[in-house]
Amino acid sequence: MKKIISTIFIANTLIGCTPWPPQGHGGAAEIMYHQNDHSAEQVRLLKAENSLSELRAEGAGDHMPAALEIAMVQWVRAIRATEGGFTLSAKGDLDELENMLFDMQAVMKVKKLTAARPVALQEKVRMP
Amino acid sequence: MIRVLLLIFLIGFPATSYGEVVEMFRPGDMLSLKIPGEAAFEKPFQVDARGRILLPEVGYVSVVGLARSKATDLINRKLGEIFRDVSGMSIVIKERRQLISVLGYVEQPGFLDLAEFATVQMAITRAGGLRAGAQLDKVQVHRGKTVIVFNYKQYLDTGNSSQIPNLQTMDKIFVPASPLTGNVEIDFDARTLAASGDASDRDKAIIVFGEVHRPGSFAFKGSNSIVDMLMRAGGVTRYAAVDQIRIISNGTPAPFNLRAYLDTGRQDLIPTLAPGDTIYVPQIVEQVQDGERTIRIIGAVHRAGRFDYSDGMSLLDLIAVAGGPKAEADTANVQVLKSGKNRVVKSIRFNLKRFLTKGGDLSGMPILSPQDTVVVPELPKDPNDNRSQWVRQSSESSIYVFGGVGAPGRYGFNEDLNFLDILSAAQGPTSNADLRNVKITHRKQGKPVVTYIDLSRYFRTGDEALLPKIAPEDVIFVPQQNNDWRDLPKEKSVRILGAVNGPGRYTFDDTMTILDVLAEAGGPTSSALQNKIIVVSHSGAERTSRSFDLVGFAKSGDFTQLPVLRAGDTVYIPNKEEGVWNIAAAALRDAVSVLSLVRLASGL
Repeated sequence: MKKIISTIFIANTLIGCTPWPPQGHGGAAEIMYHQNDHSAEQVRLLKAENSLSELRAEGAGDHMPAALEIAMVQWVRAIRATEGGFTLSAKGDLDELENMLFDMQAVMKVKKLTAARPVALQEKVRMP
Repeated sequence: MIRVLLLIFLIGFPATSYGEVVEMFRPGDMLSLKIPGEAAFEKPFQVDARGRILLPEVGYVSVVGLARSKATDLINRKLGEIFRDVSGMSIVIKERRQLISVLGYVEQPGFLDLAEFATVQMAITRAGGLRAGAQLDKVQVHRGKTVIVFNYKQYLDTGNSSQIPNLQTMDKIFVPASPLTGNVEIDFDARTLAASGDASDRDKAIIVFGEVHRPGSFAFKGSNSIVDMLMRAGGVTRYAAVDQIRIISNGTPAPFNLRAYLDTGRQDLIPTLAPGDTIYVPQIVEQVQDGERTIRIIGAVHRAGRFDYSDGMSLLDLIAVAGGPKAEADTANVQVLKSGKNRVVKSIRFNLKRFLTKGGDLSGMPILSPQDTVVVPELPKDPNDNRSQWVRQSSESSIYVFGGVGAPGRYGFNEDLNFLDILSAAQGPTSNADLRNVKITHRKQGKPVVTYIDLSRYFRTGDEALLPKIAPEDVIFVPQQNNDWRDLPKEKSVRILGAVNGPGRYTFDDTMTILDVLAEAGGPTSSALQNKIIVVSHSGAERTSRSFDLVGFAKSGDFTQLPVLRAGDTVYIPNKEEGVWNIAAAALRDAVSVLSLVRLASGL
C-alpha cells in the first residue's frame, strides 16, 4: 500500500514540474543594457550604438529624422534579440541595422561635402 | 573768185533757210509791226487761237504757219491797200506765248495765255487748281488728234519733270474725275476721297475691306505689300481678326496671319499681291460657320465654341482665342481629339499646366489641325464637391481615398499633387484613424504593389522622405483603429490568448514590450495564472517558448525579466487551473479516489 501511495505522489510531482518553458528575458534590454561579454553580436551592437551617436551628433536628426528613428528602433530590436538569446534573429537584425547605418552615413557625408563648398558652388550642385 | 562766191553761198543760204524755220508763226506769238509814223502799230499783235492777227483798218489776217518773210509780204500787201507807205515795215516776234486750254476737274477751266515755257502745273494753277475728286494719275494732254496720258501724281511725288509732257501752244489739258466721285455731283473733302481709295482702274486696283478703318479700292504699285495696302486703308480696327486675313487672288482665297508676321518679322509670311486682288479682314467672332478650316474648343474656357483655324495655330493660340482657361479649368488634362481615318477619333492628352509653370519643349505640344476638338476639363469647384462630379472625371486623372478620412471618394489628381494634397482634399484622417498603417495600392506598376506609411511617424518627425509617391489611379486606404483584427497583418501584430480581458490580435512594434500588449488587451483576468505567462516566438529565425512571471516582475521591478516579444509572436496567459499545484491536487484527488475504490473492492 505504501508503495502505491509513493508512486502516485512522485507521479503527481513530476506532472507539476514539466510543462512550463524556461523564464524569458531581454524584452526591455535597451533600458538596462550593460555589455557584459565580448560576443560578436555584442561588439557589433556597440559599434552600431557608436555610429548612431555619431550620426546624431552630425545632425542626422535634422536631415533624416525618420531614418534615424527607424534605425534606433532596429537597434532596440537587435539588442533585445541578443539579450533574449535569439542569436540567429539578432544576427539578421544587426545586418539590417548596419545597412541602414551605412546608407545614413553616406547621405551625411554628401551633406557635409556640400556644406563645405562655397555658396555659389552649392547652387550649381543643386541644379539638376 | 570762185572761193568768194562759195563762201557767200555757204553763209547766205543757210541763214535764210534757218530764219524761215524758226520764225514760223503760231498761235500765241506776240508780233511787233514797225511802220514808221503810225502810232496804231506801237502795240504788239498776238496771233490768236485761229492763227490770225487783228490789224488796224485791215481786220484779221491769218499768219499761222507762215514764215516771217511770207507773213511780211502778206501783211505788207494787206496794209498797202490802206496805208500809203508801208515799205519800211518790219515784223519781228516780240514774245512767244502758249495758248492752252485747261478742262475737266479744275476749279476754273478755260483758255489760258501762258508764257512760252509754262508747264502743266503752271497751267493747272492758273486754272484755279485741281478740284477734290480729280484723278491725278490719269491727266491727259490733247495735242491735235494725239492724247498723252500721264501720271501727274507721280510728278508731284517725285518732282521729276520728265513725268509730265512739255506743253505746246494750243494743247488742251484735261483733268478727269475719279470714278469714286460717282455719278452725282457732291462736295468732297480730301479726307473723304482718300478714305474711299485712290484707284481709277478696278482691274488694276487692290480692294481692301472688312475690319479696316477706311475700306476702299486702292491703286496698286508693284512694290506694295499687303501691309502697305492695309496701311493705306487706315490700318485694321481693334475688332479685326488679324491672324485670319484673307487674300482673294484670281478667285482663290489664301490666308494671311498678320499677327505671326508682326511677331516674327519673317518676310516669307508676306504674300505677293497682284493687281485686282481683294483683301478681306474678318471680324473676330465667337463662333464661325462650319467649314473645312474650323476648330472647336469646349470645356472650361471663357469662350468655348468654333473658331477659324489658321496655319500654324498652336494649342496656346486656340486657348488664347477662346479667352483663356477658366480658374476652375483642369489644365493638367487638356485633351485634343483628332479625327482619323474611318471616322475614328484619337485622343491626345496634354499637361498644359506643367508646360505653363515649368516650360518645356514646344514640339511636345499636340499639333492642331482643322476639324480638331480641344477639351479643357473642369476641376470640381470644391474638392469636397468632388463626388457630385466624379462621373465627369476620367479614372486616369483620379485617385481613390477610402477608410478613415473625412470625405472618402474619388479625387481629381495630377502629377503635380502629392500625398498630403490628396489627404487634405479628403478632409484628412478621422480621429480614430490608424495612422501607423496607412496603405497605398499602386495600380500602375505592372503588378499590384502595396506600400505602408506610418503617418504617425511623419507627424512626429516631419520627415518628407516618409511620404510615398503616388500616381493617378492609386488607392489610399486609411484603416480605423477599431478595425477588424483580421485585417491586421500578422507581421505587425501579436496574438494574445487565454485569461485576459480582451484576447485578440493587437498592433505591435519594437518600441513596445509585453507589458504594453497586456495592458492593451485589458490585463489578465482574476483567474489568470500570472506567473506563468507564455510567449511563443515564431516570428524570427528561432521558434521557442519562454515564460514570464508577471507577479515576480511586479514585485521586483526587474526589467531584465521581461521576455522578448516581437510582432508575429503569440502570448498565452494560462488559467490558474493550469497551475502546478492545481494539477497536482487534482491528480492527488484522482489517486485517492482510485485508492478508495481499490480498498473497497479488496474489502468485498
